[in-house]
Amino acid sequence: MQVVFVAKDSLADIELNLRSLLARSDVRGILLMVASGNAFPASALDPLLKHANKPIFGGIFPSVMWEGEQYGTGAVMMGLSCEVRWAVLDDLQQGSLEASLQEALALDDGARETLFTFVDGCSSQINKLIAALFNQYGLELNYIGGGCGTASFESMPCVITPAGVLQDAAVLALAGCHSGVGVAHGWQSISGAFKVTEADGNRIISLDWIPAFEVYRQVVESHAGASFAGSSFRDLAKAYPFGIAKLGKEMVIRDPVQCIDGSLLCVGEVRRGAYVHVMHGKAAELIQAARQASELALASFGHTSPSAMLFVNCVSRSLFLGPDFSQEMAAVRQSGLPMMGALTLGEIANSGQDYLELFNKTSVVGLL
Amino acid sequence: MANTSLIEQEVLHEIAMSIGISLDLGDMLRECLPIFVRGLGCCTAAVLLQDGECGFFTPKCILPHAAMRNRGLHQAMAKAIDLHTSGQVFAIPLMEQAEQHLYYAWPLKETGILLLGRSNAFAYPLYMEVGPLVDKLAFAIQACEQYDSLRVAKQAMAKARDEAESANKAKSYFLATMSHEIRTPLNAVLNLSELLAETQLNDHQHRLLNGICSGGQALLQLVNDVLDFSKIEAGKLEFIPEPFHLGSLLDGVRDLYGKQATEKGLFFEFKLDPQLPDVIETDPSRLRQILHNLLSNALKFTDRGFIRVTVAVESVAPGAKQLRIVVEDSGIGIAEEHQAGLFQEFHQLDSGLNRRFGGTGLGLAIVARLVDGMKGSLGMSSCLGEGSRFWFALPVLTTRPLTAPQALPLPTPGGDILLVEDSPTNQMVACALLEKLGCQVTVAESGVQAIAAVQNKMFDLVLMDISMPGMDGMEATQRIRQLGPDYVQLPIVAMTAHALAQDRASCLAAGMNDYLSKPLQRERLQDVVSRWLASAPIAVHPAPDSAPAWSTYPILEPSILDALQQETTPQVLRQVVELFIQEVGEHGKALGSALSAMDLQAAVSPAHAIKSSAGALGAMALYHAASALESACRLAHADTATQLLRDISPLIQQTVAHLQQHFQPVC
Repeated sequence: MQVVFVAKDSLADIELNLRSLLARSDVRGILLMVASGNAFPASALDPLLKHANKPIFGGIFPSVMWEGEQYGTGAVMMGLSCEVRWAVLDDLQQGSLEASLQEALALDDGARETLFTFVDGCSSQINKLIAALFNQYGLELNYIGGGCGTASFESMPCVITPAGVLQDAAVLALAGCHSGVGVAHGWQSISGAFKVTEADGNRIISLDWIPAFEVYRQVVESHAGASFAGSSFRDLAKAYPFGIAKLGKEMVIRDPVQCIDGSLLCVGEVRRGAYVHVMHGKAAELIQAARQASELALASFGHTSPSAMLFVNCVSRSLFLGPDFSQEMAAVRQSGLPMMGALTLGEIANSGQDYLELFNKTSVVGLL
Repeated sequence: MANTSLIEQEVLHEIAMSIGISLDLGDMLRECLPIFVRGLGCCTAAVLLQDGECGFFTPKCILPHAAMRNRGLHQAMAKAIDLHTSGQVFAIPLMEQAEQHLYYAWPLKETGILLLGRSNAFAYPLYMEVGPLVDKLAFAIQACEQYDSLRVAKQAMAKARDEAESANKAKSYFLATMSHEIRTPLNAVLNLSELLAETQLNDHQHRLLNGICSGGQALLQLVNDVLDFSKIEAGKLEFIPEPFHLGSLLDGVRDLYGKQATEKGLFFEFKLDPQLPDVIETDPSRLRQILHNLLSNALKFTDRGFIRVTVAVESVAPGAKQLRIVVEDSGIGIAEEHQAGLFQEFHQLDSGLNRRFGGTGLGLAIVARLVDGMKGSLGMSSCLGEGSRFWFALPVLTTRPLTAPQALPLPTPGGDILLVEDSPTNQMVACALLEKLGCQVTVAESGVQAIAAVQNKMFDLVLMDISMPGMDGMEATQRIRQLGPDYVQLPIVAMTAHALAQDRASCLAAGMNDYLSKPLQRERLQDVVSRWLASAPIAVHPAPDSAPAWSTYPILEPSILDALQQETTPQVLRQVVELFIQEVGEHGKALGSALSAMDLQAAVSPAHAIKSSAGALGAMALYHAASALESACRLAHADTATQLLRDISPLIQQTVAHLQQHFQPVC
C-alpha cells in the first residue's frame, strides 16, 4: 500500500501525487479522500478521474485525517496494490439497486476481500443502497466506507468516481486486499426506551405518540441543564444521539441533525415500531470505544500484519469531542502503521459478523 | 447503562410487532426478517417452507440473498430438514456450527423451518425467548398461505363464473338463433294457411285448416317466448321508448282478448281511469307484450267468472308518473308456496298443471325481465281456488304531445315490386301476401340479380333481404343508389331478421328507406307497402317538365285534420298549428334566399323540413310540392327546382290561410 498526504490546498499538488501513484506499476487503484475546505471546485478533478488508466474512487469529506491529525484542506490517498473492480451507481432512485449491482459488480471468482463503499451523505436512498449491498454481497467480504459531503449537509457533487465527481451517487470498489474492520461508538443510554410510533424514512415523527422533539427535548434539557431555546439545535443535539436497541451489541446510533415541525430528521432511517433511547457519551468513553474499534480491527485482520490504517469517523463525533478528538485519533493509531482517513456523514462497516447497517457517530477502523 | 433485560424486551417486542404486517407472504417475510436479524444480533436468516402435498422444503426467504452461496447455511438447512422430515426429536432450537457461524433452527409448526445464523452463541436463555416469536411467525405464515389459497380459489371461482356466464350466453345465442330458424318456416306455414283459408274450401277442409292454424299459433307463441327470453338472457333485448296513443294500444289488446274471453264464457272488463292521458311515452311493443303474457295466463287459467284489467296513470313524485296496470282473474289461483318462484324462468306450478295447461314456463319470467328492463316494478297476490291479481307499474312520460298524426292516408296498394329474397319459402310467402295486396311481384334471388332487375325495369318498390349469399342486401342497395339519379330515391325496404336498433340503423345508413322484420307479418307488410307505394310516384318518377303534380292534391286533407282533432287536445293542436306557421314561414324565407342565389343545395334542408311538417298537419299540396322540390334539388334538376321554388311561396301562404280558417276556433 502506498499512502500519501497532500497538505497544500492545491489542485496541482493533488494531481501531481495522483499521477505519481498512477505511474507506479504496483498500484492498481487509488482510494482518494479530499477535504471539502479546498479552494478549487470538485469538478476540477474530473479530467484526471475520467482519463486515469486505473480507477480512482473515494469522496470529498468535511476533513481528512493523516497520522493523528485532522485537516480541513488537502487530501489523503492510498494506492492499492491488489486487483480493484469498481462500479458507479449514478441513479440511486432507480427501482432495483440489487439488479444493478449484480450487473455492474458481480461477486464472481475475482477480487472479493474488501468492498470500499462511498455514497452521497445527503442522498435519501442510503438505506436502500445498504440493503441492496447486504443482499448482493452478504457476509463474504468486509465493508468499509461512509457518507461523503460537507459538515453543513449541503447537497453537492462529492462522490469521487472514475466517471468524475458525482452527486446523489455511490461508488463501489471491490478490492482483493485482505482487511480487518472494527466498529464501536461508546455512547450510553441516559433514558428509558421510546417506541417510534410514527416515522417516515429518516424522519422520526412521534415517540410514544408524542411529537418526537417534545420527548427528545425533555430528556436532553433535563440531562444537559440547558435549553434548546438558548442555543442552536445542533449545538445541543450533537451530544445526544438516539440509540436503536439491539441485543448483545452496541445500539445502532442515529444522529438527529434537524428539527422540522416537531419531528426529528436523522442521518439514516429509523423504522416505525423500533425502540430508541436517548444516548450521551463522555469523551473518555468515546475515545475508549475508538481504541476498541482499532483492537477489533486488528483481531479480525488475523494472521499477517497490516500495512495501513483507514480511519472512518463521524464528523459529528469530532464536533462533540472538540479538542479531545486528537486523543481519539491517537487512541486508534497502531505503532508503525501509517494512518489516513476522513470524517464522514454516516459510516458503513461490517466484517461478515453482523447485519449491515449505516452507522452514525461511530468510529470505524479498517486495517489493510 | 440501560438495563439489559429491558432492552431484550424492547427488541423482542419490536420483532413481534413486525411479524404479520402483510398478508402477502413475501412482503411479510421481507418486513420482519431484517428485524429478527438486526435485533437478535444475527448475520443471516432463512425461512424454509414445506410443500403440503409433496413434503419438499424450499427456501422462501433468505437474508441476505447472497447467503445462498454460503455452504455453512446449506449444511444447517440440510440437517434441519433431515431431522424435521424423519420425525426425530431434536433440540429446539437445533444448533449447528458450520464455517465460523452458528445456525439455530426452529420448526415453524407444520409450515416449515426458521434458521438464524450468528457469529457467536445466543446467551442462555435468550434463545428460549425467541420461541414465542417463532410461533407467531408460523401463525403469520399460515395466515398468508390461507389468504393466498383463498385468493387463488376466488380467482378460480371468478374464472368459472365467467366461463359459466359465457356458456350461458352462448346457449342463449344458440336458442335465439334456433328459435328464429324455427319461426321462419313456421310463419310460412301460418301465412300460407291463412291465405289458403281465404280460398274455396269445404267444411271439413276448414276444420282441418283451423286445426293447423291454431296449433301453429300455439307453437309460434312458444317459440316467441323462447326467443324473447333468450334475447333477454343474451342481453340483446332493447327498449325503445316513444310517444304513442295509450288508448289505441289498449283497444287492440281488449279486442284480441275480449273476443277469446267471451268465447270462453268469461266476463271481460277493462277499467280505464277517466284521467288517463291520451299520449304516454314508453316502449309500446314491450308494454303490449307484458299485457299479452299476463292476459294469456289469465285466459288460460280461468274457466269461469271474470278477467278484469284496470289501467291508471299515477303521480309518484313531482314531474314523475307511472302507468299502473292490474290484471285480475277468478281463475284457479296459486297456492302460497308456489308464489315465491313465480317470476323465475321455467317455473310451472306442477307437472299436472303443466300437462293440463301447457306452456314454456317463461311467460311470467319474461314479464319480470321486461318490467325490470323498463325500470318498473311488479307484484302479485293470489288465493288458491279464488283467482289471481297481477300488477305492474312502469315509469312513463305524459307531457310530450304527439306532433304528427300516426300515418298518412294510405292509398290502396298495388304496384310493381321487386322482391329480393334467396329463400324459396320466404319468396312463396312474400309473393302470396303481396299478390293478395294486388301487387305485381318480380323475384330476384341475389343482390346481383337485383341490380340487373332494377336496370331493366323501374319498380315502385324494392323489398330487399339483408342476409343473402354472395352480395348481401346492404351492398346491393349501395350499388343501386350509385346507378344514377333515378335510383337515388327508389324506395328500398330492408327485410331483416335481426330487428335490433343497430341493424335498423345499418340498413338506413346503407341507403334503405325503411325496414320490415322477418318473418313477415301480413299487417305490417301491408302497412309498409302501402306507405311507400303512396310516395313512390313523386320520388321515383320525377317529371321535370310536366305540370306541377302537387296541384292535384288538396290544400288540407280533411281526414287527417279530423284525426288530429280527435287525438289531441285543443291546446296541443293550437300549439302545433302555431309552431307550423312559424316554422314554415322561416323555411319559406330560406327557400327564397336559395332561389335568389340559385343555390339548389341550400334549398334541400328547408324543403325537407316543410315536407315533414306539412305532412303531419295534412297540408297535402304543400307536402307534395316540398317533396318534389327536395327531390329536384337533390337531383340538380334546375328547371324543375326553380319552378317549384317560385310556386312554393304562394302555396305556403295559401296553406297558412287555410289552416287559420280551419282552426279558427282553436287558433
